[in-house]
Amino acid sequence: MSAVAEKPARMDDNGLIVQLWAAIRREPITQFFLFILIIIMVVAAFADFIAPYNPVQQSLLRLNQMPSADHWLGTDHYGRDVLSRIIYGARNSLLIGIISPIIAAVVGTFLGVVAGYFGGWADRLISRVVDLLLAFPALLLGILVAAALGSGFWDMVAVLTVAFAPQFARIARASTLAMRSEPFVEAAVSCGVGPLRIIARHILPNISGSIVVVLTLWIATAIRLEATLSFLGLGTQAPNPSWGNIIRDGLNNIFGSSWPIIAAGAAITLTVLAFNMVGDAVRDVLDPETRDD
Amino acid sequence: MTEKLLEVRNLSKIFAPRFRINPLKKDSSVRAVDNVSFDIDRGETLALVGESGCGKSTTGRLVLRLLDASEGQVTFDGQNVNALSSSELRKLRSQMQIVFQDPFGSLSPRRTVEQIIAEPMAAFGITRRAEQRERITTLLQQVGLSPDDMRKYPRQFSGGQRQRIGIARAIALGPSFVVADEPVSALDVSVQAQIVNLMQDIQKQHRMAYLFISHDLAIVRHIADRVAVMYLGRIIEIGPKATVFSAPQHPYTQALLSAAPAIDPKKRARRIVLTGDVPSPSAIPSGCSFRTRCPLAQPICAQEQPPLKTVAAGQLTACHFAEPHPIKIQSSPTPLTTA
Amino acid sequence: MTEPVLKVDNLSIEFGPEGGALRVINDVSFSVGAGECLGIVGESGSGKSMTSLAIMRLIPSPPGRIATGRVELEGRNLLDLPMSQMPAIRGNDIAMIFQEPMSSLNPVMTIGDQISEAIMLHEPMNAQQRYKRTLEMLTLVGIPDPEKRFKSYPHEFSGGMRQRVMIAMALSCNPKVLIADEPTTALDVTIQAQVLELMRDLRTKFQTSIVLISHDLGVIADIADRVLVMYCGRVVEIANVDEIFADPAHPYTEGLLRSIPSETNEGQRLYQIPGTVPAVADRGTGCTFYDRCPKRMDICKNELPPHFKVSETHSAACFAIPEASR
Repeated sequence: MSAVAEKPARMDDNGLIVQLWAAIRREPITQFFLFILIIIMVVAAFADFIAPYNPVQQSLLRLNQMPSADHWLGTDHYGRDVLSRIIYGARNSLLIGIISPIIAAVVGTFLGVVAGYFGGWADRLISRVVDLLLAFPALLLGILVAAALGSGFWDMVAVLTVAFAPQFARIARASTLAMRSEPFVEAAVSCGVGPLRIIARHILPNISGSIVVVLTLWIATAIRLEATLSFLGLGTQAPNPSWGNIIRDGLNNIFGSSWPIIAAGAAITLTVLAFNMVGDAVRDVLDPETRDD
Repeated sequence: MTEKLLEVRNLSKIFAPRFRINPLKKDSSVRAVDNVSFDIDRGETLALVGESGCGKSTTGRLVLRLLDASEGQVTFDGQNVNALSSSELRKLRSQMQIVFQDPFGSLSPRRTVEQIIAEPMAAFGITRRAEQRERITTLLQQVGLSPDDMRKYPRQFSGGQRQRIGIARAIALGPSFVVADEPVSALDVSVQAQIVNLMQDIQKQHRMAYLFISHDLAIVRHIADRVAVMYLGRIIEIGPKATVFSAPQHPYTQALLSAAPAIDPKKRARRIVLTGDVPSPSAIPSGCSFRTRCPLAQPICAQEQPPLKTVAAGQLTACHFAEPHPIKIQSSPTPLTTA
Repeated sequence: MTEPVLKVDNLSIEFGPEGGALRVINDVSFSVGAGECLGIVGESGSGKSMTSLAIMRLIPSPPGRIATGRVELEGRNLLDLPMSQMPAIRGNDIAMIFQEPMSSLNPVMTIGDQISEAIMLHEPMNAQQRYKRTLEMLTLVGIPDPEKRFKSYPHEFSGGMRQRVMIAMALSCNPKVLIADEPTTALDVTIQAQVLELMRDLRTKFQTSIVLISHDLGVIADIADRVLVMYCGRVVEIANVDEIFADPAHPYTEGLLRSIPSETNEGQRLYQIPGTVPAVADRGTGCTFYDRCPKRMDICKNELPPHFKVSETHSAACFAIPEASR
């Protein structure tokens, strides 16, 4: 109607990466946190080369030291280098924090799309299970599953996947239901296109945006949850470091040295903040409707 | 010459809520389509007219089995459509197609015109890129677009052009039957004419049958061979276009025809303005569903649902007071094409 | 014709930054007398809705701007008034109804409260009088059982009923001019007939001037006294309703009329206006219809045709109008 409406829609005129980069360039704060995130990941990946000491090497000669030139963040009550433990801990925390939401996203999206597209008994079954799991707080569910499975690395991943998959399933189901009634999906059905092809070509590409948005925001939560479970003694087990069990260890010895707690707490805060900030930028690009401006 | 292509018998669709939480609350199921029967011959156009919510679009989807019918049967080219398995149904889809009302929503925004038109081909085993290209080029030319448009996205086209793309997709596999669901109602007046002409040209070339769903009586009059009028899920009058338009026997058809705004000032005088609104489909009046707005309503109308009865050659009307009549077709400058 | 109530003179509207602005409305002039109904016809992008928003001074600004022209209501130029005075004009002197009656009503307020609020804004009355007036308005627009309906919410009304409520609100302060932008487009034919009937009644009863904007030539023919045809932001033809439908002078109007299926072209191929509406940026200096016109001449390409008078009440902007009939 108006001259304004004649402008072409701004939807994916450019590639996703190009748009993301443009969005990040507009925001210096996002740039800063992206930079932090990259550093954390590099450090975690190359822990073997970066960490100055072996993170599990104990030394009775250097218990509870304050930060010094040798030990930038001091040592804990076993004489282990706190900086090295934080660096190795980043590896566990990040791996679990990133891998489990991704697996949860894949599993949850699959279930959600199946439930939303086919409906009927599949939908009823999946939806009830999802509702049941969503009724538990993620932490409680994590504790339950961890208690049942144990606490190795893959157990941890499994725990978090179970905790997060229902969230993805719910969103995927809702978006699929919305897509299913889109005329272009009906058009594909009327052309004789099979259900798998419709899901792959018409549904997934159109719901992937909202899934990725949720994914980036859940990574931060996963890192926090892993830390919490480890803190409770249900996650990564000593002497293997993770940020959560560094805090747990540190708490037992808080009067000897508070540095492990401060350092691990700061690492968790910074990483969670960085993921949330970058996640917001991703959401702004992929999901323009939720944007504030 | 006439050869029956589609036979619809006693088709009904009831939309019921999945669970009834409060058993005391009245049944909220909606009878969207109620006992609808009609035939369509090869190459013929049957128009389904009625106001919003009368069930005409639902009927179109039931016929194609994009929705499953609650009752009744659809026979297409000798095959019972309701009994087909989902893979058999998919095969049949090359023969029965649909053109949608919304030229914006019915084309996936993320796919190029080529991908959109190639989709039905790929579903029917035409997967060679070169062959697809060749066919798409011909199709685009047929619907009045340029082969260069293949690489563009739907958003780069106007509403009319998008509707052409939708038509190209529908005829990609050479169907013998197309449901056209309000194909021009979202378009500007001058563009409507282009699309109506295009649809008629294509029909002639391929000898396709149309189920033309519309609320626009002027366009129906132009394109249809026969007309079925729906009110609250039921067909209340059906017959050859010439008789339905010149001698409508159902009071609703009469009101509908007279309510359509006419450019010719002489036609404006005899207007029947109905009182009241269309009742909700979840609370259809007993007996004749039109009785609450009908100027002729009598006590019998509340008790008995009038059956469709023949009032003239090929014309059936569901009204207690409709009487057989000799066809008086207005003298027309051009010979009328009746089915 | 009597002294016009509403007079629009050389109205032009631009969109975009100063210098690079696009003119979406160009030199639109018309007038409406008391109790008269002027129909504005045009397809999407013709600027018909923009024109009506400009009269109400509702053009979003920026990016929009009224570049030239006057909008006179009983001799007073509305465009000269400070913006702060416009709310008093809207509703009181000029009221407007839109295509979508649902989105124009507040879903959490009762129908009665919304109408009485409209009355309260413009006329000082006590609650008792307001209630009475609201019931009168509901009765006037043909809503049965007004006492009961006063307490209903918009979602309890059908589309036609909501449009009646909109009309009741618009007329509650006895406006001099009613602008109706596609008032029946969202309605079914039988309901449309009811609403048009109502508008016709109200016009004779209150001598309200109506500007009816529609893409539907049938609706225009039905209710308008005079018709203005817009194409690409310009008025291409203006005439009395009978003249324009019987004897259109502009090739665009003619093409539009011929492209509608009717009894006269039954069984024949519909006429199609070739090509598509040019984008705002692609409109040259000549006639905007040049590219699609069957009667185009060399002069049309670069020179804008002025309005030629075909009769006392009929003019069209086309060089092809024979000298003799000008």
